[in-house]
Amino acid sequence: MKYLVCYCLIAIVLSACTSKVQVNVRWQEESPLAKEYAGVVVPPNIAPLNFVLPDSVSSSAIILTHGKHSLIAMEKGGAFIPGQKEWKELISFARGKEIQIEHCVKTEKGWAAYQPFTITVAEEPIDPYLVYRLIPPGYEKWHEMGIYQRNLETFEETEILANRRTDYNCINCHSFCNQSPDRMMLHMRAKHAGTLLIDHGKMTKLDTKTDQTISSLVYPYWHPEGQFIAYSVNDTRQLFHVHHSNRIEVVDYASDVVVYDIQRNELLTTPALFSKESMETFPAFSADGTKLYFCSASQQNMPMDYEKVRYHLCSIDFDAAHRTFGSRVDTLFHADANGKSVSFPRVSPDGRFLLMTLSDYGNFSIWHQEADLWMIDLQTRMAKEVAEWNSRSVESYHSWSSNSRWVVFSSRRGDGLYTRPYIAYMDRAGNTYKPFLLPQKESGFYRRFMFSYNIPELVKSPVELDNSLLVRKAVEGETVKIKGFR
Amino acid sequence: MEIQRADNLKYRLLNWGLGILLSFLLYGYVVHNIPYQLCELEHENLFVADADTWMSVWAMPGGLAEVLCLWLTQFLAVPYVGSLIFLLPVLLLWPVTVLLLKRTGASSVLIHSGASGVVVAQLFTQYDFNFYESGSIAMLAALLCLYAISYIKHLSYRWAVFIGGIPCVAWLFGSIVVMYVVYGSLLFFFASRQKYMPAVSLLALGMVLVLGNWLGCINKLELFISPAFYYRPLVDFPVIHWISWGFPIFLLVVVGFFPHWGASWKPVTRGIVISCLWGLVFGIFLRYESLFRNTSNQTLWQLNHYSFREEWKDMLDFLSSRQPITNQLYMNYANMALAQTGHLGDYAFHFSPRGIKSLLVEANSTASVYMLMSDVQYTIGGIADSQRYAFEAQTALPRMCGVQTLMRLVKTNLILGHDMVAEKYLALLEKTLFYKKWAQHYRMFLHNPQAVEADEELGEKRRGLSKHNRFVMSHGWNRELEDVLQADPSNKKVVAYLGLSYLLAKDLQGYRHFLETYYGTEALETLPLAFQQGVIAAYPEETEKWEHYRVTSQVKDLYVRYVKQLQGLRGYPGKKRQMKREYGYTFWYYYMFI
Repeated sequence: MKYLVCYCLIAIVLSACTSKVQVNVRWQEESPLAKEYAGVVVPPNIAPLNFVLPDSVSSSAIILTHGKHSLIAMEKGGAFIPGQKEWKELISFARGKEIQIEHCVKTEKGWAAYQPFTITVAEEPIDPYLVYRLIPPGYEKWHEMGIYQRNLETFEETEILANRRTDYNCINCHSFCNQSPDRMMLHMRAKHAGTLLIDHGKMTKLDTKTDQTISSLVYPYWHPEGQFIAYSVNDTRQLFHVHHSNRIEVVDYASDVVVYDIQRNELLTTPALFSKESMETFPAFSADGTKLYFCSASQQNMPMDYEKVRYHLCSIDFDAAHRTFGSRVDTLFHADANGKSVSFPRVSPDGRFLLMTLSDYGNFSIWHQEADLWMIDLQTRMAKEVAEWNSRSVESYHSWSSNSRWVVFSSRRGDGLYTRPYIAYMDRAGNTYKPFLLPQKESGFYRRFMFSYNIPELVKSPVELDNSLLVRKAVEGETVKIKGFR
Repeated sequence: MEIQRADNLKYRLLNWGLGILLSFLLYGYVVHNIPYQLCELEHENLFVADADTWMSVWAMPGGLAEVLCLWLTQFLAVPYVGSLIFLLPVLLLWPVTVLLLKRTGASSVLIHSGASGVVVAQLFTQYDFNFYESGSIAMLAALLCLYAISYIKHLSYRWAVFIGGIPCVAWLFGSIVVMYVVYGSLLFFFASRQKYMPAVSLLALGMVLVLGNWLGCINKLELFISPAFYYRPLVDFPVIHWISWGFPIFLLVVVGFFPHWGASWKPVTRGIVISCLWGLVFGIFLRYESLFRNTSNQTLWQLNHYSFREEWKDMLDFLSSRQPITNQLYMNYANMALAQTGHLGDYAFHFSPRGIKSLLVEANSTASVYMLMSDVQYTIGGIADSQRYAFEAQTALPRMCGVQTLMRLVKTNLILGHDMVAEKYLALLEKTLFYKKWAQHYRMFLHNPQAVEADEELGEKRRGLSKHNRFVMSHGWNRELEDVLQADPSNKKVVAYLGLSYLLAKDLQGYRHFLETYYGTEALETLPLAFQQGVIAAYPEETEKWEHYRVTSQVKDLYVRYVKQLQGLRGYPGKKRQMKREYGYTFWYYYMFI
């Protein structure tokens, strides 16, 4: 008898939990959540989404349903965040299909629900790790910054390298070969300056300044086969507007593109990439490594004519076996004809699409409120704006997942200053879908967080470096000087 | 027996009485000597009262000490109370140290006066602006833990708890764990004389440190075994501060090996020795206190506090009492205060300016100077630059977020129409104890341009925003000021800065152009005193110009006297000194002799 009583009590408690929200009334209005979340496509391996609604009333909830599976997330701190275990379960059932979301509010007459909306769970997973630099959106001075990796399937974030371990120097431009953590690099400036190259655990610290180049190596892009890294070299200055929607203007007074041969420790280039009459920057290899894309602009009188600087998107053939470049430069996007300037060309791993950032002028698009994402279909060579991913604020740096279905991009749509990573889906046909903000464990996280997410890069597995070894290499490691041009 | 008990009571009263006296002395010194250092600490930090802050206790080594330190720091700017808060963790070291030493069974005459030496040593370290109060809190906490553990009767359990506490102390309080282990090992060794246990505890400490370093919890091992853990990063840690750890351990060793030193002396002798030991502590404090106090920055912090509170008159009174001023930073503050009180054009030369940098210094990568530059730019309506320098100041702060910088960023973002960023900062300030009301007030300006424009301060700044864009300082300082005047022709502060910039540069041609452009406008209906002096200097022979610019008879008479004096001192070697004494506050003196 006592067991029966216990079972009954447990059943009552459980049923109270699962049927906490019983909808009595259905409103005709659309939920305020729908604007942000209706139509969003999520990967099947993502951590629970944060459905954020700052003006939500405390007695509200969302019910997520797929078929006979459902879960309830109560409002807490202005957001609805499902439990991890329940979310994982639901999303696994809904893979390739839709989840219905009912936003419910407790009224005097019981629970009332807005019109439901849906999100879709894609078939294709996203690369499970996202690597980024956290840095305040500052001007010239820096203090704390670091490179971190986030497990997209949970909320776990771990440090790869924080500059408090390297005497507060500047760490930047982390980059991976084909989204693999086994081959990566990053730069350090000021103290312990150099480039750290990591290849399957082997760390090398390079001094990349040569007499033939105007700076140390800057913006990187790995060749898909891993023996080369394309870099720009830049003479970059920072200027500040007196009264402009963009606070800062970062301009290049000069720039060139080179390719670093890792095995031979030397640089390659060609006149088309190393011209005094124009500025070449932001190199990116094609998926098969046979082409090198880059941005090119005519040299202007800087800084006076900074608004006249517009970068075209160009490409040149590259023969990895012979370490040579083609003789012809192809222009895929003509800046002047379009009245826009290109930055960050990035080819999808399947070689089908090229994603880029367009702004009215210049190349440091994170400080351009008008910067938006555009896509070129490399088969048709047609360029179009990715309207679903853009906002009235900055959309800038982006990276592809290894399966070419997901893109992470930087956006300042939240408040216009602090950069946040957004994740978006593109199907095989090239259709793009509404993005969502990288979810966090706590609802108020972004409101309070005083760092920007910089250079978000998707990687296929975690970066597993011995942190103390990395620090020791960074701080004390012998530096290998790279040779100049062969 | 009765006599002995009475004598012990007498010595206890003597020691406690002297301890209280020392406390009052230290309090008096802090209140008198470093009140603005405490204000600066408060302005440079931010305690946000929410769950995230308290959760951060567990996020990193030393988290609890850090959070407690931040919590206490928010009270440091409260007059008198702040000084007490600053001192409290240090003062409490005295009774805790006394009690700890007595737990060894000692009755040495060194105990009470020695404990006061611990207090003084720690205070000397805490006097250092770059040393976080979390270091003192951590020390107090570690000693309190040891005191609690000392009450465990069973020896094995005591050692077990002590050793088991090592990772907890390390995680909650930081590098003080080293002192915890060394001090605790000695303490319990003297109590139990178990020789191998100290070795075991040191081994446990070593393992914790190695593991912590390997796991990445400990940034730099060499920092984590030193009081430098509680020191501002990127600043060289003074070796002298090791005394704050070394002296308590030294005292323990001495008391441990000579536990009853002086206990059997005659009462008179004992009394004399105790008094001498206390006298030594008082003497060391009085003699060396000023060496540990950062005297050179106290003035700067005081000025910054006045600026933060917008107490311009107090600032001017203070600077007047510090004449002659030779520090350019102080000159910046003086000119800013004069501008804010509407007297820049009258009295600019009263504070001995030296060139254009007297108006705006150059950055030197410190938070103080960045903040000053932000203040000056804010005064003259250079809002973008004010915002930039406030952000740079914030980045330069050790904890990268401070009340003063945040408040400036709120205002500049509101003026520039970046309401969402302003809202982010307001949300933080609303969770503070002393700035919640301020933040709630400023919330009304969010997404409300009419309210911004109607506000006396924000509206004036918004009206002064340049109508056309260019890069800051791309055409020089004067052009910045002219742009503000073009946007807001009634801005008297800016016209004063502009005129003064010509005078300080001794650019009389530029000054003439300035007069032709701005005299008679809303911003410059009449010329202030220094500007009238400038007219005479710019048009020495054209007295009709003096009439045109309505130079007063007092200024003319002063000039006559000036010239007469100058002529009278021709050939006199002390001419400059003499002229400075009588006319050093005039533009003519500046023009001729600086």
